[in-house]
Amino acid sequence: MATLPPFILLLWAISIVVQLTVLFLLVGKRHFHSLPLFSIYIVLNLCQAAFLYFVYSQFGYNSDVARQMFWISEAITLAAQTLAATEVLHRVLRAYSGIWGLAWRLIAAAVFIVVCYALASAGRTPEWRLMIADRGYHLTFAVALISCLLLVRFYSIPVDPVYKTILGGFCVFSCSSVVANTLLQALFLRRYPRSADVWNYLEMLVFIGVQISWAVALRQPVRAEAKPTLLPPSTYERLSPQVNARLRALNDLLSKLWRLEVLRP
Amino acid sequence: MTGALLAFLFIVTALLLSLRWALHAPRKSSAGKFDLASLEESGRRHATYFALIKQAASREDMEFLARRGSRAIARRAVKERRHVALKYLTQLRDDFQRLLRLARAVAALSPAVGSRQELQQLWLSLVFTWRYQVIRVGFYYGLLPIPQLNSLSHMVSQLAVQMETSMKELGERAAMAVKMASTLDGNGLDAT
Repeated sequence: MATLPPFILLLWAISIVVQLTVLFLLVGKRHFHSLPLFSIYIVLNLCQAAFLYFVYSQFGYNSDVARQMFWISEAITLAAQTLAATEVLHRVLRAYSGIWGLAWRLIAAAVFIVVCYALASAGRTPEWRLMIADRGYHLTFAVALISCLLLVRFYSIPVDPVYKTILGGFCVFSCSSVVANTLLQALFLRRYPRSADVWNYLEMLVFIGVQISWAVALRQPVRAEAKPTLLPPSTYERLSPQVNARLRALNDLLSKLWRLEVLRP
Repeated sequence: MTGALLAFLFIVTALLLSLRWALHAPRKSSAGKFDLASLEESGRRHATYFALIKQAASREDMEFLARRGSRAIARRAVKERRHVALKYLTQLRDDFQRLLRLARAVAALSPAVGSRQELQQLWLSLVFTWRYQVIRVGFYYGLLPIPQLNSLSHMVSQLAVQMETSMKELGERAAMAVKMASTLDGNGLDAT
């Protein structure tokens, strides 16, 4: 562990304390009943920290073994992150099955587009493929999650502040990872000597910030929302085309003004 | 590489701004109540005021004012006319938004939602917003002449009647569907 800068070690210690606080709140406030996958994600993050501590102390921070072990453990926590975010999103939308179905289609479309991009860019620079794949994952994650949140806002679906903070935290962390990975690549190619440290600082500071916001949010219980009464399926099938026809009629009216057809005699 | 960094910074900034907007729920809808009945308002649709707008903007009136009145009066009339046209545009947008709210509420409360219908709605609202803003700026700064509205008259009077009846009908049907669903739910039956 001697090769790890002291400031990184300090951030690591703070991060563990904050994660333990989040876990304590999840258990103490009984959030783990409603958010089991999110609780597992927090536990896995703590396990990853312990595992990497062991690996770095045995093989050194800059060794190939440590790098490989980091990426293996990272893949597991990223999978857990996806499941945890999906769980929270499902809790927000579970009463609105139509919008949940729409959200799934949106997630699939966003994932397809961004994964295609990530595969194409990883193929161009094989030596950076793990880093680019990681960036691709975070970009996909952020785009898919934000698309769903935009959908939630579009249909005015109520979201509990606890869920808002968790989902927002995931997005902020993924966005910061996209920037950190790109910054690392840029600094490394310019032969900046402490590029890895900059990457570590950025990732850890944002991660700690997100964990703190989760800890603050999780102090409150999730409010019990009354389940809305859904309409029969035929209502949507009948009303939606009619509403669209009216919207089109209003648009046509504006279109006449737009083309200034009214000025013709 | 700096180009890539800037590109990703731009993407991330756009994502974070979208996130902020998505999470910042408007006070009005934060309660998450879908009051379909409120969408079926007894008031007339704004498109029905077209005849009055037409009267206010008639060329004869303007010519008469220019001939008989002072320049100041004519200028004031043009200003007022612009004001009326702008107000009318705003009211058209209100009609549009009321319909959109109805559509969203119905979609949110439906067990299955069609992607095509929803995309069509999104596209229509984007086109409407864009045209509305351009026409509004055009009228406001006098870049577009205030239309005489004559040839529009027939089309809009037809539309006005349609809108008046259909909006009411849509609102009534939606509200009735909610009532029926609540009744079935209350009887322990699965309404969906």
